[in-house]
Amino acid sequence: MLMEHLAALRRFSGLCERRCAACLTVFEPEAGKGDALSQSLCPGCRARIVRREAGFCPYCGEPFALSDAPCVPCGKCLRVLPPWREFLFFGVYEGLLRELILRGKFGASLASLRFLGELLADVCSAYYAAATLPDAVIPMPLHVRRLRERGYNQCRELVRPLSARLGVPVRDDMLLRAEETAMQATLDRERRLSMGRPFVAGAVRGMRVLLVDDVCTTGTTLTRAAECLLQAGALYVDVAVVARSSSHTPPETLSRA
Amino acid sequence: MTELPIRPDTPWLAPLAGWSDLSFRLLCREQGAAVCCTEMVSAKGLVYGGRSTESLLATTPEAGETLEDGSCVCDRPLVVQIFGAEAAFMAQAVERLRRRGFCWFDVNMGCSVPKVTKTGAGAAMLRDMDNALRVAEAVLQAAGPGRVGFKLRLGWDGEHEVHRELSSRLAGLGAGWVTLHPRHAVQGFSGTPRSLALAELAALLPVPVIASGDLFTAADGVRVLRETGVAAVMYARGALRDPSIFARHRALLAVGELPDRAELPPRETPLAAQDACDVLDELPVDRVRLAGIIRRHAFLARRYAPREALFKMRTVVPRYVKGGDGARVLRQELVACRSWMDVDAVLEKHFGDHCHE
Repeated sequence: MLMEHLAALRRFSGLCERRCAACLTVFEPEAGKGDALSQSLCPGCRARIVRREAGFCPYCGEPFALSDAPCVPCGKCLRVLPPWREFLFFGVYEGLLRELILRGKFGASLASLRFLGELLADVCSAYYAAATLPDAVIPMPLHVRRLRERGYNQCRELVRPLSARLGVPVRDDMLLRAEETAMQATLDRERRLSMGRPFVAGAVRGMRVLLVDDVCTTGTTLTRAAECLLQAGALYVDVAVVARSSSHTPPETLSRA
Repeated sequence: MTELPIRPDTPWLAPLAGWSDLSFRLLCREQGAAVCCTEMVSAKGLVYGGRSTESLLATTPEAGETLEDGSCVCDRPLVVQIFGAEAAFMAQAVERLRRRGFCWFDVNMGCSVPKVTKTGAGAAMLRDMDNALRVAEAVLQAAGPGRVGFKLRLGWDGEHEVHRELSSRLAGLGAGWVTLHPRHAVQGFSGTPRSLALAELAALLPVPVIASGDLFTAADGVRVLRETGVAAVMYARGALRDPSIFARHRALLAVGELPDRAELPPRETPLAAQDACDVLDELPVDRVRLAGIIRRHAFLARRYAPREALFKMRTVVPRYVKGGDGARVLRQELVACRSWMDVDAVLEKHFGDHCHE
């Protein structure tokens, strides 16, 4: 009886209410669920974000057309394996997930980035529960000029919740973008694939590295960055991205506004 | 993204004029073919309502059906391969097919047979890229983006290679996938296919590339996947020799090796097609597997094409039975069969109790 009254009072006070990270309406998270999805999104928006649990290549995350297909290596990875050890991602780059990433990346929505970071933290903490923790989390760097232009590095924001959850330090001094390259999102496939070697790595010798980016499409940026870290002596590189876009989706290239 | 399985572990059955009829497709599906193509269908034949065209489109109901022996068969997902050089006819053909419930299409830009190329269709499309793109646009318009694939060769001849430009533009128009047989049209089936072209195209295109051409055994298919990075492979002649190639392909990918050794030995330079077949024909066959496949094909053919089934068996079975003891005698006896009783007797004589489960 007393408990019921207390619960009613608590609900009335609005103390357990939250604002949905996507649609900004007020909702009350279900009690007893700790994952980022049910904590940060209202039930309506939650249904619009789906974690990809099958139907992708285990080496590079390439999503297959059918989401219930078995996880088999894609043709590209049968030919050449990517340089990283493990590839972790949350979902396919589409729908609401895509919208939130664009909001975080180009719309300066730190709330979106925080939520996406929580999603990534869910994915990574589940994986590292059964594997050796990395020594450093490295966010994909921006060239200093791009950083000034945007004012923040979206990947640096993404890794905050992740680093806190894993208890692993963020080392954004270990990988720099020395050469300015055009934004991958503005290029067509052929030009995306022909990226040079824009990265420089710091003292990562002997380190287990978790490299984090927002989106992976052709995998060129991640490949170049991982190669650079491995060349500098990293023990291995794991990669985590929020969203994987199929390299078989004709890119709707963003025009640089 | 096209919602057809286009992955290394999902081999396709190629469109095979004269062979990939309903019963053969069902047989291949039971062996593990993920997607099957119909025989090549003429767009004009469809629009004018030719009777032979009609029989090429025979299929099972969408949800499949149960046969007399209790097995369930379902001829989906099915890709209808059409050919024609006139955009208007091709679009009309697709519209008709869509009304009848077909939803996946493949446009033939690779057939090198004169009967087809002299009408400007098939591989002759590679000689007139503007028209090829007009046809593609019309077909995609009628079918919907992502629902049409294009099967092409490198080009008409060595001097006119168009596959890169053509397929990039097809992808830009909304093609769902591109199948490449890496030979020139004038080569027919001679020479060796250039698998490097597959690797180039797989890296270049924003849509999945399917490899075709000279995949005689599952090991060939898996090798092409590993060497070129294409999204999937399509078996044609390999499936005609042995429909269990699909099961073997899946097993080879999953396990890494096969229980028996009915594959070509590893070689430095690729064998010409005829030599490869000759080598394969000498290999011992698994008689239990073979007997099972022949039985099943005969059953399916009698069920779905009762009138032609006997003739079908007389042409199909010799392809399965190439090597091994008594193959020649078996072929001769089969071709002389006049009734199903004769066929049963011949099979009984050669395979003994393997025929009856």
